[in-house]
Amino acid sequence: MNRYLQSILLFDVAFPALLVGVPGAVLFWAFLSFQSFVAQRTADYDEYQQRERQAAVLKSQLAGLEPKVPLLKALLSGNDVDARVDHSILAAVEKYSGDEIERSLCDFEAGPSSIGKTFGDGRQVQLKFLSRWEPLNTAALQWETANPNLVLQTLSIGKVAAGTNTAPVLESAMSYYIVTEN
Amino acid sequence: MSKQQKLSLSDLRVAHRSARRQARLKRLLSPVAFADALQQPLRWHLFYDGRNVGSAIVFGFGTNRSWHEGPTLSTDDLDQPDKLKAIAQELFRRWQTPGRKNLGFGVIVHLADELGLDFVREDFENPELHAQAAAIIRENPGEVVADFCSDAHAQCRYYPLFSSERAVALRHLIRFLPALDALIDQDIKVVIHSAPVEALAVYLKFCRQSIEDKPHCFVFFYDQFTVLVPVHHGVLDLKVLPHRQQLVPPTFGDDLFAIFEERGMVESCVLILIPCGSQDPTLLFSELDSYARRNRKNAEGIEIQIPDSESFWASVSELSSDQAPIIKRPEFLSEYTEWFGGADFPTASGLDGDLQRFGQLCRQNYFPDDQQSREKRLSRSLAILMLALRGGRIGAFCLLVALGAWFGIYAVGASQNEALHILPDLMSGKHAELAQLMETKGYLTRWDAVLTPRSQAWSVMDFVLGLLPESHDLVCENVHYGLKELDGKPGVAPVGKSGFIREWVVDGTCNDQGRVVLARLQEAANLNQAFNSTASRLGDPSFSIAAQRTAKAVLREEIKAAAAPGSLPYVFRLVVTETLPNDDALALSPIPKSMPKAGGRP
Repeated sequence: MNRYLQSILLFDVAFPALLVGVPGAVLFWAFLSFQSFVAQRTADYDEYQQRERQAAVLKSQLAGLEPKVPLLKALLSGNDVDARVDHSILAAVEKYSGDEIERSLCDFEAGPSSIGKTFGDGRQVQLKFLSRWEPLNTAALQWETANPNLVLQTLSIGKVAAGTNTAPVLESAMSYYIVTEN
Repeated sequence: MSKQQKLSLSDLRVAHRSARRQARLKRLLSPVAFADALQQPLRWHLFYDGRNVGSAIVFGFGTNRSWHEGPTLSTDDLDQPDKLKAIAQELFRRWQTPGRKNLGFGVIVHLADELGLDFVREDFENPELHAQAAAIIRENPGEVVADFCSDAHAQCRYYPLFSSERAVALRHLIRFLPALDALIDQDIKVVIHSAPVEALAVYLKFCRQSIEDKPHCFVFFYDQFTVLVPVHHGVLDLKVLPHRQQLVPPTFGDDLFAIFEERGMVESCVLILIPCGSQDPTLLFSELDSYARRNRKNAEGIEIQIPDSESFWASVSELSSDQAPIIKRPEFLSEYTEWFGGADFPTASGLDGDLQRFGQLCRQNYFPDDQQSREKRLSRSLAILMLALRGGRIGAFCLLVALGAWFGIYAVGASQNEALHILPDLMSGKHAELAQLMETKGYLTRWDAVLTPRSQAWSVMDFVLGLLPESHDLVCENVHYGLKELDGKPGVAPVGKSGFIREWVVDGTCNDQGRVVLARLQEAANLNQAFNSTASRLGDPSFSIAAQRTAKAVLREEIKAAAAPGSLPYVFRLVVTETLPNDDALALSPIPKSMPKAGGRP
């Protein structure tokens, strides 16, 4: 090969390609990388701002509710649910004298709900009381307020005796389905 | 054939430096920068015969051609590159004036110091092969010349003799090539011509009419050698007789008579003795005369002519009278290419063909012209390539700078973007916070739908009291309540929400006033009123009869069979149903089977 051509290929093609091409390629790569980095950070920042707005809206929506989440979790927990429900009912009943209300049955069982298929299998409680109307109504309000996860499936109330000067004694039976997370 | 050389980096650097000098834009734009010496506007003719150096300058072409005295040189100057270069540069500088653009400088060396005649190989004796032979002899003279002895300073060229249908090769020794290379390095174009061939071309031109009829023989009497050229209807032969340190060729008579006898020219021939060196041509005449007497040769038919210088220059009518003393040498007249006909190389025999042929052959360049030598010169195409690459390099560099600047500006602009200052931890923290909030909301929403009061004992009992207030006219004995889903596909759990029915069955006794109360409940408006008033009283929307919800009361009553006196005479059964359809807001929601972890915020 012509010595001039060799020298041209070396000094005018190879070396410049090395001296300009390599830094150029590196610079171009750096530029593209930086551009991509900025675009990514800008997108992240936009997303961050959007999240911030969403979080603000959610915070306002959940204001006052968030502290109740642990309580709700505890309520819906399947652990010791029988004891908790039993305790709530007893607590409501014990506020009255035995003449006013007396629990005659509290039976917990597992199985399909009598309501239908939507709730599926779960814990249920059968209760029986001898009581007067008003204490039963009030006590029910108390335990159902303490346990909003109780869904009344059936209720039967009938008179068993009636005094002359006193309100009649009622025999009642009720069945609850207990809603839990599990 | 030239061999591929392995060049070191320093060799390539030297070559590149040289190439860079030659590939200047100004040079590329010049129409003469890549042309040979004869096409340069300023030409320096140098004649060298081994003893003397002749010098003349010619400027311009055609009718604008003007001759000038050349610088005086000694024979030693030719062998000193630096001195020759200095003289040439000074000469060029003197002629460079602002009005002369593209002034190129060429040196034409007319060699007459040593000349040899070689026979060509049989393959190339046919003059028709002149184009091929001329090319091969430059690359590899051994392929064309018979019995070729390689000599680093020797250059051979091929000369076809169409009139005698043969060819010969002439060989010149070029002793001061380094000095000429030094001129080339200064971008001065150099060609080397054979002075005897130039002299032959010039004399063929000026003796064209007189040599037409009779055989002639030109004898070019140089100091180092004598060239015999028999001509009869064309150039028949070339014979070189070296002087071998004598004034005349030692075998002049033998050689001359051998030529004459071979071609039958002894009886009638004109011998033209042309003085080309410093010696008087009468020496040749004397030598011939003594030879003829000594060998008893009949030379009566040989007419001898010695053209005098004045008559020769007078015949060169194109020149003005004051230019002949400047030119001095007839070889320099090969400059007048227009005298020798067109550019085509004729192949016809005869005087006219030879005149045109030798007009071109006399300009054969003896400067080494093999591939290796050609590679020492940068071709125009390579120069253009080099310049283009230089432009590309500058462009690429500018592009690199522009890219760098653009990058810088972009980086400065981008650095003011707040997005780059927010810490990634902060962003991911916000992401986690939002995810937590969304999870909490989802959790609450899911369980809110499930835990919304639909069926509670206290409200169910309260509704009964609201529906049938206790009185003496109507006594409730038993109350039954049940909650049932609306019928779906049997055995298949509903996928979405499911409506439900609440049913109250109340058994009791009543009198006529009580019957009126019960009968009113069968009217939809009254029953709805009872539900809605309970909903508003208890704040429980499940009792609200609106949209697609429906409520119905069915009453059955009969007379008590064995009614005690004073007791209520009728027994009744009231069945009240409330239906909430599947699309109701309070329709039963399936209980999530697997709940995500919630409420676990730190």
